[in-house]
Amino acid sequence: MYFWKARSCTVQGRLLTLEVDSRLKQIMKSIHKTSLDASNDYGMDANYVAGANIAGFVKVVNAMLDQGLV
Amino acid sequence: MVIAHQAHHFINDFDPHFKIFHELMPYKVREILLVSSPYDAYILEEDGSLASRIINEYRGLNLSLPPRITRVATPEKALQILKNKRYDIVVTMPHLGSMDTTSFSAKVKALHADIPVILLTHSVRDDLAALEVLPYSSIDNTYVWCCDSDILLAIVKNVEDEANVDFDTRKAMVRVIILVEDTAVFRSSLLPILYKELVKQTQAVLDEGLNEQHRLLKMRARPKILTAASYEEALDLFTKYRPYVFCVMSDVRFPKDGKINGNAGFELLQTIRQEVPDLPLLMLSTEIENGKRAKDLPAVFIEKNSTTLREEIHSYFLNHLGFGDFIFRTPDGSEIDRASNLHEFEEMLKIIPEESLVYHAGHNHFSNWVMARAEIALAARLHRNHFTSITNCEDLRQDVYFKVHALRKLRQQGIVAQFSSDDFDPAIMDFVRMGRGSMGGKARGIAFFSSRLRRSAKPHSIFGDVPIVIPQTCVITADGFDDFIAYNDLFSIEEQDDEIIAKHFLEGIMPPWLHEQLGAYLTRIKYPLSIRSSSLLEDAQFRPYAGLYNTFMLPNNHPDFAVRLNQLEKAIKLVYASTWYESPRSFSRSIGQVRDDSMAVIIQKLVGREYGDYFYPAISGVAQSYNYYPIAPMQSEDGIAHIALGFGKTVVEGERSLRFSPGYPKNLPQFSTVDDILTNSQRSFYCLSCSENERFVANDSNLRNRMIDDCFDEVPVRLLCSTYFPEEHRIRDVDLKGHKVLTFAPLLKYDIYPLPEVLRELLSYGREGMGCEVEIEFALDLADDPMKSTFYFLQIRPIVTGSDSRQMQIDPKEFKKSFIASGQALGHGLYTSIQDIVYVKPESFDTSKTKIISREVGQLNRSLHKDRINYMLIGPGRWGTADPWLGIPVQWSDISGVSVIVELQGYGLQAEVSQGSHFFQNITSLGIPYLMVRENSPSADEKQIFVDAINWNFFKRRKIIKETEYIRHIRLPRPFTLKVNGHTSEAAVFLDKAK
Amino acid sequence: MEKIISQIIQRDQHEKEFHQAVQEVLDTVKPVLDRNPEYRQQAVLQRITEPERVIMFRVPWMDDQGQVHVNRGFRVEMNSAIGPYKGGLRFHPSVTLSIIKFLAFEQVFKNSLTTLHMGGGKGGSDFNPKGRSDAEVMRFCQSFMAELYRHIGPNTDVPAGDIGVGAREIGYLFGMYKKLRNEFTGVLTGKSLAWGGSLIRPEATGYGVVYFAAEMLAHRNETLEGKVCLVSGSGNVAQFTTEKILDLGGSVITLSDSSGYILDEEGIDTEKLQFVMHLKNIRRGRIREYCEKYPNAVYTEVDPDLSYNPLWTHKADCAMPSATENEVNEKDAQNMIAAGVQLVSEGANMPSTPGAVDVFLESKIMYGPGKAANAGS
Repeated sequence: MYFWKARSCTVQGRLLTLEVDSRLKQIMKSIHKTSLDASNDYGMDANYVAGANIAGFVKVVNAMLDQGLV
Repeated sequence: MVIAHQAHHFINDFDPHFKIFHELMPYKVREILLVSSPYDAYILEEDGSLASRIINEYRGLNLSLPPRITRVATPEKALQILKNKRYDIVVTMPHLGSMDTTSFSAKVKALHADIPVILLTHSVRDDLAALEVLPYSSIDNTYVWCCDSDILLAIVKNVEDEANVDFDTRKAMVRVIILVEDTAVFRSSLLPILYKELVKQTQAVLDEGLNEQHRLLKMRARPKILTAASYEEALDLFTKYRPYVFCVMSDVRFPKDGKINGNAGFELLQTIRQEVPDLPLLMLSTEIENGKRAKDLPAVFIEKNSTTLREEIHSYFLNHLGFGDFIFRTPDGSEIDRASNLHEFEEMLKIIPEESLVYHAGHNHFSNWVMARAEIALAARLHRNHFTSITNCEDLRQDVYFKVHALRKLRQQGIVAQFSSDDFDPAIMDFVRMGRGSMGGKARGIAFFSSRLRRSAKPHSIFGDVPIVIPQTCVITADGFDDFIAYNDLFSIEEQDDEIIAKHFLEGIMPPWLHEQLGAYLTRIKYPLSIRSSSLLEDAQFRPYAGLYNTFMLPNNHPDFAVRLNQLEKAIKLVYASTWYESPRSFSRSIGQVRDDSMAVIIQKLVGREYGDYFYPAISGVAQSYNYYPIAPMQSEDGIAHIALGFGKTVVEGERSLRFSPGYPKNLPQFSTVDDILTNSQRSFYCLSCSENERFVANDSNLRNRMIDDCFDEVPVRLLCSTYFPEEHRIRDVDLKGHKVLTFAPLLKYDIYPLPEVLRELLSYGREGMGCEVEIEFALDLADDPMKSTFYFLQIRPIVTGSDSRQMQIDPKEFKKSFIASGQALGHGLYTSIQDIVYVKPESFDTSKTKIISREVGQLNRSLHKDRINYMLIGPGRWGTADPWLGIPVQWSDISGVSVIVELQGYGLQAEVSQGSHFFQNITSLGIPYLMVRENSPSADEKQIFVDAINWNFFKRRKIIKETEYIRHIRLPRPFTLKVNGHTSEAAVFLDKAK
Repeated sequence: MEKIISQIIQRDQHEKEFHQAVQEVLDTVKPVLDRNPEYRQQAVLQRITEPERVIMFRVPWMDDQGQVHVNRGFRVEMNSAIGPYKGGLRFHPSVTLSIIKFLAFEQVFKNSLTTLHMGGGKGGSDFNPKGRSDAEVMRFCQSFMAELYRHIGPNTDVPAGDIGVGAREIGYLFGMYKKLRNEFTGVLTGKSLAWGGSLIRPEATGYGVVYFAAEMLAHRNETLEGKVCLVSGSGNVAQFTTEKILDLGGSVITLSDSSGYILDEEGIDTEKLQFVMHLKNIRRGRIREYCEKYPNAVYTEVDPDLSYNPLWTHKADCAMPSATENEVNEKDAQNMIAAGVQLVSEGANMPSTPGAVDVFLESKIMYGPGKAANAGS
């Protein structure tokens, strides 16, 4: 069994550093919320499939519009 | 069996192929013209035909090519014949009728100035004075016939010697004996004795290990005898050939300054003695009183008329000319010990006292003694001139010892010596046989190749730098088996079950001669051994039999000799027993082999070394000279090799080993990505457990299977591994702390040892030697400095391809009528028993549905496999690919019943064989033909015959056995013919009309 | 909308994969377009389906025998509205413009869900690294980068590895980039630790899947504590999914590979997980060896005749498919629901067939598609 221990991470198991892990948690939380909101917004109750597609699409498209016709 | 490095270079200076001997004695007497009156002839032939007596003389001395004698009665006739035909010697007898011998000889010389003319008289009285005193310029020599045909032998030999002496001495330092004798009578009596003695003695000291041809060749380097009839002549000869003269035998009374001088002999010998103080000198005289003076010279004295002349000359040769034993003496002359052959000589060199060593070296005795054995190069090396620079005695001893040892070793390489209990020296005899029967195919292959390797010496060959040897091998010939069966009366159990056979064989007793020899063998052999079969059936050389007979590996290190011998004998008995087991017998029956097999056994030193408690070679492998599955850029002619760490069982049993082409060792399809390397690299390896030597275990169970993970400290593992860094998912070819992966990178990528080059040369050698494609088994024992490792070649066998290239040539007509043709086919052979075809329907094919298709194929395969139906599989893209976008992603189990695979290219699917996968391994190891067909547009060029094509119309009207959404299984009315020509990569499939 | 789609198809008729991907996305976002006429007026659909830039270039290189080969290189920079282009490089003989375009298109949406600012792009070449020596791969990468370097940069386009581009290739590519640009920057993802890379975080995807599941549960005021989970696969994603589930108090009773799956009613604990990690990551063994080590578990071999995967029939609360594409079909989905599964969080990419997705949506269970659940990194 090989362990590569450093301050950051052990590969074959155990936690990421707390900060990275909690960052990941935040990201997933945010993705969840975004998808949920988008889904609800369009009248689909907690349909994450639609929600994710829509959320992603909207985010990109809005940014594109912001940046003008380039 | 490692050659001492110091002597290694030395060997390359030797001429190990007896080439030099071939060149010696370029002039040989073949045709003798004998001119004699009928009466003279009658005298000569009184005791039998001259011709046959000459032949007998030659035979008796084991000399080759006796000359032919043509007899003519008159000198006129002789001259006439001489005008038209070439003769090497003209022997004339005195009474020639009209012409006298002088004018006759003059006339002969006028015709051919270089033909020696010898006068042979049979009466002492005939013109004696004239003959002796006046040298006839045109008669080269005179002899007296004393009723013994050996005079002719002497004449011929002497003429040859005189002609060859310049060349031979320059070329090979051949020795010269000068005989000074003016009287024809004594010359005629002495010369035959001398020649006979010379020949016999030389033959006696030649190495027994040599075969006939070598002995004859070496005979050519025997000392030459030159004759002189006067003081001046003698001195001339001496001066001219001085470095080579190693004995002067002289009469006492002979001409000096034109007059007979009773002291001439002494003066001559004294003069010579002053020049060369320790040259052996022999004085021959009829007067016994001369003996005392001779002693003062000092010289040995023999009385010419002695009744024991022959014996005295015999013992002179023995004691003074370097024939016979080498007697180690102290400088004062007292004997310490004697060596009667090179082996003993070598042994004694190690222990004789310094003063004796220095004495003999300085006096050139080593050189002389060795020269008598026609070991020219060694004699040159042992010449005292070499030792002048060596001051330290120990250095001298080492030097002489190594030179002699290296020579002995060289002589034995590649030679099959008969085992002798007294004489067995494993350090130099690499191949011995016990018994006198046949060695069997396997052993013969090893012996043949070993001798061939020795003869290689191609300039710039890699063999010059890299030692390639066979491990010490001992073959028990087939009479061992036969005797064992007879001795134990085992015929009755021939048809029994395997276990009963084994039991009886184990209870049997070895024939006494074999038991004794094995014991003698084992006292000298203390390293691990492998015991294998070498069947006499020719077929057994080929793959099918491999694995049917048992193999054993013994650590052979038990402290009790009796236990070791017992284990060895048990192993041999079980190998014998396996000859009668069911599998080989039923296999024999199935291929129609009726003859009963007899068995030779090969006992071979196991290659490898000890690492802790385990013994194993760093690398074992198998290489074939032709690769029927070459993947670009590989070429078929480069062959293909498989290597593994540890014993070769890994390779032979098809476990994870590394496959590479010796022409492209850096292209390793199995190791393309990190994942591939982790999946495909060898995980465990086989080694011999040395600590468990008590019990004798059958089969390969002495082998232990160890995980590479557990052995990182062992040198070969470290040397051949790379390191995997999981956090980067990356493999680096360095030895760092981390997880080890066996990639062989240092070997194949970084050339720590030139294995690919060695294999390339060896395979091409093997191919040339056997006249067909070959498979070689080998092992590499890595030394601490890998470049100095020794490569062991273990076995060679011809590869049966089942059909040779000519048969596989595809006729243009066959191409025309084929329904599938390919210019890129892998594999080789003729297939005529397949009737079923499973193909992916082109009309419904969809690249996104490949996974479904693979499932359908898998299901169909299972039912076909169950019914043992072989089929051809056709479909687009790469079969077995992991990527569903490249082809049908079947696993091997989905197509296990397939006999032929056809891949259609150009359906929007790119193709590249998944070379490293087990899928591909299975294809190659099972020899399944794999055809790639690039579908061309319908308007193919008529002239291009070998164009890839598939004729879909052919499939249309066939009987459908089963059909699913994407695949169809059809059966043809009769089997089709598939021809794959591995040499041209062409293949054609066609259906012949019903008979 | 159909008109737009048919226009897209018309323009590049042979790019079948791209059309399929476009079709899928557009189908889902129809309601958005309906509600927002601005999008239509601004021709957002036409814009978003047209890559900002497509770079196609020649990559010549010489093999060890001196023979010259010519491959084709691609970089499709699809959309940089929310961040510099980010996406992998793929070296594989199947690579064509169509495939890269389709992958780039998907990448835009994959990347858009995370809070990090990442645009979408993809690239590669039809070069096949299999069987090539180190030197040949190096020369190819150098030739490839010799063109690509003009177009990438830490603030422009940051390629990563993909199929056929591993640590070795990233190394060669980076080396060439640095040589040509004379700068040492974070222009490639996946560099070695020793020279500026960050750790490959295989655990990110696995953990992310579980975090997403936790969020879905939290939305219903539940947690993972005490929940029994079915996990498929046994690679990195499955391993870390299992680890995180254990962390959060749940239990995992299954793992699988292409030969079959194991069912351990006692639950796969940390020690057993370590065993699996070593088995799969280092030894490259088969999951069936798990049962040799832990005899109480049961191994079931894959039965190709079966139209469903028995792994999904066991009683459980959650399912995390983490093995491969299309591993869960309609029947599997039904089996799952019948077995009591209330939550599906996808670790693999598109592990559920469209039919299965429909089943999930219809049953109103918590379904986190891969797009969302494994977007974490």
